[in-house]
Parts: sequence; structure tokens; C-alpha cells
Amino acid sequence: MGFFSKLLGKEDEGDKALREAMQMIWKIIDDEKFQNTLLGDDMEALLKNTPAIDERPDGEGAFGLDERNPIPVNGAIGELSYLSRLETSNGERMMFHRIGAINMIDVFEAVTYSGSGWYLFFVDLYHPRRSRKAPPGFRIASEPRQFSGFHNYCYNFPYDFADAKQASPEMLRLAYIPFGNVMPQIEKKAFARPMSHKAKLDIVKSKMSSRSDM
Amino acid sequence: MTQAICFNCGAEKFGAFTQCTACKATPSNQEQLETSMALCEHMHSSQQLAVFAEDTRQHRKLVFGPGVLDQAREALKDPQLVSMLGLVIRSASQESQRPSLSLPRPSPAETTSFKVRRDAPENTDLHKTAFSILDVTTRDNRRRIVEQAEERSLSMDHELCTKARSDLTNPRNRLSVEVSWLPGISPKRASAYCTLIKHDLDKYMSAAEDESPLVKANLIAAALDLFDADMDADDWATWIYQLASESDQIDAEDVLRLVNEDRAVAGFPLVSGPELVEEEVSNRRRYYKDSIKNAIDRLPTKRMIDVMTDVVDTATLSGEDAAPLLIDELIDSYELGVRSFLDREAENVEKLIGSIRNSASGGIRAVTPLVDKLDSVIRNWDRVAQPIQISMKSRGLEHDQSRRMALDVRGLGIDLFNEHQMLDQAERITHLLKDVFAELPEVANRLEEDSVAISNIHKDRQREQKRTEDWVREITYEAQIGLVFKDTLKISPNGVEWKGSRVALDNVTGVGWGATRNSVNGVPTGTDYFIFWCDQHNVTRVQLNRENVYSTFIDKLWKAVGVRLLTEMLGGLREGKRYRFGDAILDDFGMELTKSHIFSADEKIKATWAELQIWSANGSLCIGKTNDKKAVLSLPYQGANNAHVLEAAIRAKFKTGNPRLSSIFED
Repeated sequence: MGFFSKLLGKEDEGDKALREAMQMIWKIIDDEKFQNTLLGDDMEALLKNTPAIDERPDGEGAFGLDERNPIPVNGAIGELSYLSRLETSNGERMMFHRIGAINMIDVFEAVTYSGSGWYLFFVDLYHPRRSRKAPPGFRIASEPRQFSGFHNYCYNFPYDFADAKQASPEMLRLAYIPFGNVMPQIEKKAFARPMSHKAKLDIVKSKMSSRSDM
Repeated sequence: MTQAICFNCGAEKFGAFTQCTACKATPSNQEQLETSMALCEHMHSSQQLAVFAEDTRQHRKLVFGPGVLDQAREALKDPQLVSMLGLVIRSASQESQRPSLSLPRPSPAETTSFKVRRDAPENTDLHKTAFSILDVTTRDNRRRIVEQAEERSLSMDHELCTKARSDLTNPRNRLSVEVSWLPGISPKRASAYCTLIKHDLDKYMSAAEDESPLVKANLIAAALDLFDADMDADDWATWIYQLASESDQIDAEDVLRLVNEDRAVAGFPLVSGPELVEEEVSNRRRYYKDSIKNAIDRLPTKRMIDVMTDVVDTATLSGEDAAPLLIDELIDSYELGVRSFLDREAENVEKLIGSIRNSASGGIRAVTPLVDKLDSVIRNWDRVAQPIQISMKSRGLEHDQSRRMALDVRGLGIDLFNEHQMLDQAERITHLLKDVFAELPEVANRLEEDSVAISNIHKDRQREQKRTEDWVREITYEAQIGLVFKDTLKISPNGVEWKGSRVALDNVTGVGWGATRNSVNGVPTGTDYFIFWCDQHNVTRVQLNRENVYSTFIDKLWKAVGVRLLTEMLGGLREGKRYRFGDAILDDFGMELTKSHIFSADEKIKATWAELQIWSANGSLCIGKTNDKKAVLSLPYQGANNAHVLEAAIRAKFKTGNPRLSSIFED
């Protein structure tokens, strides 16, 4: 039984206000319908008219790792929700930030909490729900997870994690992981992009139609 | 965006793997990708990239620091990056109007597996030059050289440093050192080569490939000293050939220009003309030859021969093209080295030839083991002589010792065939010589002719044997005659035989046959068949009543004896002989017939073939003069010798229209 399951009514009754706050956090991080209502009426209407799929039928290349086969998710919050729940096959969670878009496909840079793995994910946010499928070499955690990344570009990723969290809308801020989960590594300056990742960034940036760092 | 340099043209671009806007090249193979990865600011500073850009523009081999390409190679293992690069390459090739870059042919360095020998010297010839000893560049001035000599002499052999200083500061001596060094390349590259040769021979040789001829030759010559004997003979040969080829391409004018450029900067007097450089280059070529000789002297004999053969074969396109001068000189030295072996083995071959001749009268069993030995010795001899033979061929010459040996052995083969009818051994020797002495054009031509002649003789013999076998089959027959007491009628190559009495085919001088139909009161009662043959002494007559035996036997008899008798008779006629048939005389132009008169003596009538006619009547062959019915010869088939032979000849003659009976030979 996970942390949220324990917290939300399956334990002894707690403080009502706390319970309501927790329920709200749970909705933000996991409830796709609720997430869609936060996107605004137009966007919500748009998403309703798109297919609810785990993977594009016309996708080419590695799922989620290739711009031609992006991960279907429900809007910007769906992106945060999906990527926060994603973990490596070793069970390592990741921090991430959006670095830009190639046409309609958002590109996220991610790094494991330990700093051992750096990745780029391609996400299509125009779907009514998030995919249940994980890219090759990754898995989706069975329990909802607090957000560990941002829909904005972090100029000093991931060292500016705290600043980025602080800059997030107040409502979302509550849904983020505690600093303590990542601070030890950040303080140790354990994050350095490997050569291959830099090369990938170069390639992706050369193709981007919009970049968050410019 | 990441600053990068195009691997192809050296132009600046953004992103290691993007398409170059200047030359439109996109890295597409592993080497280009690794190089491109190394040529970006992730791995080098802007200043370093500027140097690499210049090197690329000048088509010089890029020399990266230790581990750079390894890092690039490691990075390129990332699956997502590999996948992305696939996309980049595809989209670039779709967008680009010019065809995608084809994969370059692998260079010798790419295909060579370099191995450094365990007992390699710590310092190569490259390190022994004055520039390396004092750690100065070609552009350092006299003061810097003196300072370095003083400083280095604190930690090195003082005399060595003094001599190095002297060599570099004395303009005349300096030229020798300059030509031995790496003229025209930057001090940094020169330093990199000195490091690489000790730590990474693959990269060193790979980088050397794009240098100017003198630099490349100097680099290869220095590296040869490190090659391990276990390296492939092909690889040894490749690099020896490369060195020889570069040596040929050294241009004194080019070297002079490069030397003087550096001297101008260093403040030394310029070299006045190419003659001095030419002299130093000649010295250098001698050094290259010595370097190769010293290197291959370390090889085991068998490998050394393989290497030399490979070298000369590659350099001359199997003797069809002229080799670089260095290769010719190398082969000349090789010949000197192996001469005693070749002389000794040539003597052995001579002795063996004598032994074979002496034992040939003992037949094939006596000769075969000696020919086996000869085969082995010649092949061994040729293995050593092969590089010399190929080299001579490429120079339009023949290796004299090989030619003499080949002709001696050829003579043996001819004698074995002509004098001892040993076709198989002659053929074997011809094949051996063709195989071994293919590099001797004159000998090869003669051997080819021999081979054709032997082959034809061989075929003729086979045809003859087949004909003989066919003939034996065609003439052999045997039948039992008689109802109760059987007698054997038989014909075979051994002769014709009846009732146990046999006459050899060649002894038969006359044959005849015929049949008589019997009847009683007009009612047919059967046919009697008669066959006879005779020799000088006896006549053998056979009577039988089985038509199939009769017809089969006379068919065999005709083939076995009749044809010979006909041939002999026609040959005799051609020579002017005359033959008697009954009371007529036959010659080549006609017959002399006897015309009988009742009241006077018989009259001899001479008639040409045009005046004669033949027919059969009452079991006889009749020959008569056309306009004289009384001039007739009648030869009973059952009694007259060779009536059938004569008839066959005359009927054949009538078809030719020629006045001579023997003319049927001519058609």
C-alpha cells in the first residue's frame, strides 16, 4: 500500500483540512479529468476530441525517445504527471524540465536522482489521458508520484530545482516532491551531462521549432 | 548552440552532427561521426578547434590528444544518440542535392593490425634526431637551441646534446637533420607524433597517411623498427611498399621550400638550391632501405620470404609494372643474401637431373621417386627465388639462374618423352615448370608450346588407342560351324582361324567369298556360302550355310584384311607395280586383257580405265573392253584371289574420273 493510499482515508481519520489538501494533491498528480479542467475550457474541449491512446498507431522509432513516436499525455499537467511517475528499469526516479518543442511535440530533458542517467523524452500533450505505456528501458510506477520536474526550461538544470519549484503556480507547488529527495545530490554537484547527451541536445536543438531557453 | 568544425572542409558549424552549410557534408560513417564528435566544443576549446579547422582545410591528418577519439567512440554507443543520428543522416541525405558521401576505401592503417615487438627500443629514429633530443622545433632560433642544449645536457648525455646543438646550428649539418625530421608540419604535430609512436602505433600510422611524402616516409621508417615479427606478412608488405612508394615521390624542390620557410623564421641561412637537398634525400633513401632491411632481418626466414614476395608482387602488380626504386634495390640486396642458398640448390637440381637421366632406362618406377624429389627441390628453390623473378620480370629481364634451371629441366622432360616414351613424366615436368617459372616470359612461352605439343600427342595417343580398341571390337568374331561336329571359325587381331589353323592377319595375301544357290528341278534347296583366305603357302577354304555367319564374317574379314590388301595394292600401283589377275595384268592406268581366238594365238589387248567396264555374271567378276566383247576377264568370286578387292578399287575409281586407279587415294 502506497503513501497516498494510506493518507487518503484508509487510515484513521485525520485532520479534515489536511485530508482535503491531500485529496487535491492526489487529483492534481493523478486524476486526469481534474487535470484537464485545469487546462481551460478551450484546451479541455480540444482534448476531448482527440483519441485516448497509449501510443500513436503511426509512431516510428523508440516510443517516447524518438520525436516521431511521442508519448500521448493530457496537457501540460499530464506531462508532469506522466514523467514524474516514470522511472528507470532500476527503479530510479528522474528530475526533468521542458527544453522546447519540435513542432507540436514537447521535448523534455531528464536526469535520474543520482545523476547517473540523462535522457530526452518526446511528449505529445494533445490527448485526453496520459499513456499507460513506458518507453523502452523505463517503467511506470504503480502508485502516483509527486511532481519531480517542470514544464519550464531550467537554465541550470537540475541545480535550480528549488528555484523552479518556487516559480511554479502555487496550486502545483504543493504537488512537488520535497527538496530533501534531491538536495543531497544537488549539493554534491553530482550532475554533469555526458558527452553523448550533449550531442543529443545539439541534434534536438537544431530541429526545434521553439526553444524554452531563448 | 555548440560550436563545431566540419570534418570534411574545416568550416565552422553549429552542432557536431549537423550538415555543413559550406560543403553540405554530413558525417555518415563511424569514423566521420567520431571525428565530428571530437571536432566540437564539447571536447576541445575554440582555439584548438581553430587549429583543427586549419589542419582539415590543408587536408592534413588530424592528430587528437590521447583518449579523445575513445571518448567520442564511447559517446556514440548511446542508443538514443545512435537512433537520432540515423534521423539526421536520413534527413540530410533527403535534403542534400549532392549525392551522399560514399564510404571511403579503407586505408592501409585501417586494415593493418599493428603489433609492437616486445623488445622494441625505447627511442625510435624519430627520437634520435637533434630536434627531438633537444626538444626544439624547426622554427626555434640559434639562441633557443643553445639554451635547450644546455638545459637538456643536465639530464641527458652531454656529448649527445652538444652534437645535437652543433648539428642544428651548423647550416650544412642542419639540412641533414631537417630532412631526417618532419619538415612542414607544426611543432605540435611533430611532438604528437613523438608521443603517439610510443603509445598508440595505430593512431600514429593512421595520422601519418596524410602527410607529405618525406614526412610520411620518415614516420613509417621510424615505425618499422617497432613492428612485431608476428604481424601479418601482408601488413609488413603493405607498409614496406608504402615507404618505398613515398620515397619515390619525395620532391627536392618541395622539401627545399619547406625547409627554407622554417629557416626564415628560425633565422638560419636559407638553403641555396635543390642540389643540396637532393643529396640529403639520396642519403635518406639509403636510410629507408637500411630500415627495411633491418626490420625484415628480424623476421624468421619463411616469413621474410613471404614478405619479400608480397612486397614485390604488390609493388609490380605481379611483375607487370615497374616497382619503386627502393623495392628494386631491396630485391637486389635480397638476391645477394640468398645467392648461396640458390647456388647450392641449383647444384642439387643439376645432380637430380643427371640421376633421372641415368635411371630412365630402368623405367617409370625408377624415375618417379627421383622426379618427386626434383619437384620438391625446385618448388623450394622457387619459393626463395620468387621475389627476384617477379622483380626481374617487372624490369623486362629474366632471372638468369632461374632461366637456366628451367631450360635444363625442360630438356629432361623432352628426353624422357622422346627417348623413353614417358609421356606422363614429361607432362608432369612441364606442369611443374609452368607453375614454378611463370615469371620467366621466354621460358613460359616455350613451356606453353611444350605443353600444347604434349597435350596434342597425348590426345593423339588417346584417339589412336580408341581407334585400335574400336577396330579390335569391329573385327573380332567367332562362330561354331557344323551340326554335330562343331568347328570354330574365328577372326581377331591375332588372325583368321578355321579348325584350329590360324593365319596372322598380316600374312594373309588373298581373300575371297561367294555364295551358290542350289535347286532341284527348279525348286530352291538352299544356298552354300564359301569363304577363303590364303598366305604364301596355303589356302584355307570354309563352306557354310548360315547366311548370318557368312555375312558377319566377311564383313569382319574385309575390315581386317580386305582394306589392307586394297591399300597395299593401290600403293603398289602408284609405285608402278603390276598385278596379275587370272590371265590379265593390272596396272595403275588400266588392264591388259587376253582376247582369245579360235584359230590363232591369243591376243593381248591393252585398255585404259576409260575403255573398260565391269559387271558380275555367273558368280564372277567380269572386266571387259567396252567395244570388244571378246576381250573379257572373268574372275570367279569363290576362287580368284582378291576379286572383291579389285572390284572395290575399280568401282571406286569409276566414281573419280581420274585416269589412275590409285587416284582413289587422293580423294
